[in-house]
Amino acid sequence: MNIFVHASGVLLFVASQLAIVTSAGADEVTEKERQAIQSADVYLHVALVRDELELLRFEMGRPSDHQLPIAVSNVAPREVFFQALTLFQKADRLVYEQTRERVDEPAIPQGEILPGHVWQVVDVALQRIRRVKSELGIVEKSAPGVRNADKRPTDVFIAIAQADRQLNLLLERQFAPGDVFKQVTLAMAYSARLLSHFDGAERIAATPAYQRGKQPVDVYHRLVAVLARLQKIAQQSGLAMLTLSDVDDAAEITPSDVYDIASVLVAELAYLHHQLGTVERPLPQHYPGRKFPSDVYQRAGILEAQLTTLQAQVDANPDWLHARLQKRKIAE
Amino acid sequence: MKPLLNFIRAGNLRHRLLRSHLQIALIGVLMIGVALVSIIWLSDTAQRATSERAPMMQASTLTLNGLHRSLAEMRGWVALGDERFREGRHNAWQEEIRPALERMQRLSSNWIDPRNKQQLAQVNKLLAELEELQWWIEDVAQAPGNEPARLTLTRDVEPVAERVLTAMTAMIDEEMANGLGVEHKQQLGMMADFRAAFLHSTVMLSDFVSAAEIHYQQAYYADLDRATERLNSINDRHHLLSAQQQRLILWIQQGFIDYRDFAEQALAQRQSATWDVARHLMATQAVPVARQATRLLQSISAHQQRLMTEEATEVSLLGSIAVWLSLAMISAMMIIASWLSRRSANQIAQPIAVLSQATQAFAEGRLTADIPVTGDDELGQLTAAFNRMRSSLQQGEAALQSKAQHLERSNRELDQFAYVASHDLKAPLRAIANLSRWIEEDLEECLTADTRKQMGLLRGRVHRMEALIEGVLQYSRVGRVALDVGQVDVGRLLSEIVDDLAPPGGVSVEISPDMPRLNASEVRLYQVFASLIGNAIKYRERDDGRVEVSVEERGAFYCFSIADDGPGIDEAFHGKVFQIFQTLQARDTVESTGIGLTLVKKIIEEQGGNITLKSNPGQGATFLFTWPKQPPLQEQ
Repeated sequence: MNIFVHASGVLLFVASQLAIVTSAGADEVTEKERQAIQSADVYLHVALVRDELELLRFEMGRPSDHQLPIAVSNVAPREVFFQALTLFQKADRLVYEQTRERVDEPAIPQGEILPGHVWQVVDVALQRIRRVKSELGIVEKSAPGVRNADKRPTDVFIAIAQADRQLNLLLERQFAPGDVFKQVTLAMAYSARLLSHFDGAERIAATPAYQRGKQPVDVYHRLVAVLARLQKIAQQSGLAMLTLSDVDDAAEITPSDVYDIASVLVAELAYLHHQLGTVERPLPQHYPGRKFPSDVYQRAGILEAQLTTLQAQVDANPDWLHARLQKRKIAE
Repeated sequence: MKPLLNFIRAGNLRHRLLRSHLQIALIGVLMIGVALVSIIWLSDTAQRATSERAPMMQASTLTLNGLHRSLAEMRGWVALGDERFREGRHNAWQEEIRPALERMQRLSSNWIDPRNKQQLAQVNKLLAELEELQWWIEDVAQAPGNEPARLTLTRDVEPVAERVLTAMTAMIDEEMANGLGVEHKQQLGMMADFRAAFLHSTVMLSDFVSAAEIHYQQAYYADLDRATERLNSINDRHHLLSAQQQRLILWIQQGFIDYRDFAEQALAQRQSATWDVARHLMATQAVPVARQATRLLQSISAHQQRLMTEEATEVSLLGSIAVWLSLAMISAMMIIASWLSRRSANQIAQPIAVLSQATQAFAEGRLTADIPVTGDDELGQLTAAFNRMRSSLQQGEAALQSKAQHLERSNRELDQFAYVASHDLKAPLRAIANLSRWIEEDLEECLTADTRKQMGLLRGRVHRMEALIEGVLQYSRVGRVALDVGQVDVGRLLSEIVDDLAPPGGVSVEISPDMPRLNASEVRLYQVFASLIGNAIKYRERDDGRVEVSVEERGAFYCFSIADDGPGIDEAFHGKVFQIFQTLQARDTVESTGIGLTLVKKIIEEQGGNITLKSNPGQGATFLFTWPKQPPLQEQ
């Protein structure tokens, strides 16, 4: 199912997804409850996910993740939401591997994304993990932790990223360059949509030369650079975005980590695109087949060129976003 | 400004002529200016048609061609996955569509109608959309995810099916090893049947995913039903299964469920409209966008063609207008120039014509009054000067007429004198001669020889006196008495002269045979030749002699030569021979009046010719004189 469904159907779709989740064990979340959910609640829920994952890891005999938390700051709920989606995707894959069951991905909410929306996605992921627990006959239950009101979206983001890493280690078919390739291609699609608002701008840049022997870390570095460029674009456009520091230890970067940062990129681009208020969505992306980090690196090169073009356009028209919104309002 | 006003007001002839010419030139320049404007208009319209419309249509057509090519190449890539199609699509954009669009953009800079620009902007937007769509289609077309059903088949269905078949094969192998009874054989048959039905179902499923033909789907369901039935049957005889087989049957049952679920998913995906993502995108998005762009491009092309047709008509019309306008202007220019020229000519040439006519009249002696002076320019000044000249000349003429009358009177008195001289003076002379003869006759017997000689000398002097008087009379008549002019055969005239002179036997007169015929007074010519030839004969010292008369042409004159072989004349006397009453020898030696050569000289000069002498003592003398081929006007 297309994750980018039409806006008018989004709420119904979310409701239906929540119904599915509810049937799997979660309580139904009302709009009022969602409004009341804070980052501290989400963090607590993610901690539960991580506890459940630890039970699974133990049962499945898989290695434990010991990577250092990623260095990120200024994270907003929407960015946490997209990170939570990657958690769901990995959880769903785990469920499929263990039970051959699959569910549709939660829809991206229209309008402002709140911690409540993140909580819902984390909850769906939690239910998927519990389904595996059930399948594997694990009866132990994880006890909810203590709520720490100081937790912020950044803390939630880091916690989800760590859960992501552990979850990836549980998978038979771990997140591979092909998955990153698909995410980067989706980011390209968003960039192309953004560039379509500038007359004469090249929407998809020429494909750079293929460079053999690239490692996930190379892709990671490139995507961090792309994210930094995107952050500048956002800043020029009057928007705030998270800040992600690059890593020095190349050995620790896995395709799953690259996938996570690619997802952040998609989240930020989707957010920027959402600011235009247009109903048009980028084309859905499909399984690209087996890909190497060099393929992803090449595609990230296209994305980088697109954002360079976008930055040049924004430099020339700093109030582009405001102008588009005004234009849309007048049209409406 | 002031020099210009001075120039306009200036009345001298130079300025008037300059003004006249400038007026005509100005009209010409104005006409040429109007013609130039029409030609520029015409040229501009034609230029627009050739430099904008046609290139725009061409660019539009090129864009369309590129668009169709890109679609065709994209279809080729989607269908075959050949890299050349991808390159072809890329080239279509790089070499055809983009350059053509840039050209259209450049050409549209002169468009006035904003709707056309909007249309072109729309084309640009659509083509950008199409290019992006093509990129995505190209990207997904050869990816495994392009056919979700096939992906499900290979990624999910086939591994599960393989596990089920492997498990069933293991069960069959065990069953074959264990069972010999009827029930076991039946069980074995069930297992084999399940395996066959299941295996066939996978084939049918694969065929359906490939071809989407309904009979494959029906066959798949039939096989699935048969396999389900056999699996249920095997499970019903659970007691016949070994512990290993029981574990395997559980595995197979779970796998069979997974297989069925995945197969359903693959069937649904294959039946979905998006079973081939690239084709779906092409059909639902790329082709409609391409059609929309095509329609717009065709509309632009048609619009440009319409404009071109309109402009061609306009050019044709303007061409006709320009021709007619030029003709009209030429006619107008001719009329205006003619009118202005005539006016200027009248203003300038009228006084000249008046002056010319006055000059003519003046020449003919009909002008008696002053010509009116019309202005203070050069012509006015000329007229005034003419009037003064006329007045002065007429006064001079009056004086001349007075002098002529006086001269005529003098001539008449001279004629009278000549008459008196010839008559009154000659009469006493003749009386003296007669009386002396009568005295001599009366006194014949008394007269001595000496007296008779003296009487003879007396009469001789009387005759000489008579000859002198006759000579003076003739001299005075030259140039004053008009003589008949007619055709004279000089050769004949010379022969007559020679006959009249009757030269002595030893003297020969040679006349050149090429003597001309000329228009002249025969009397005067006779006088000249007779005097010169007569002198040559008369003044020789020998009994024999030779006189040669020859002629040659010298422009408007004949140059006659009378040469003799006589004693010749010293150069010191060459001037004296033409003086009146001058003789080189005493009159008593050779009887001569001394008037002959003077008369000859006067006659020749009267005709406009001249006479010269070439002679040295002992070498003969040659008189050369020129005579006009036509007589002077007054003589005619």
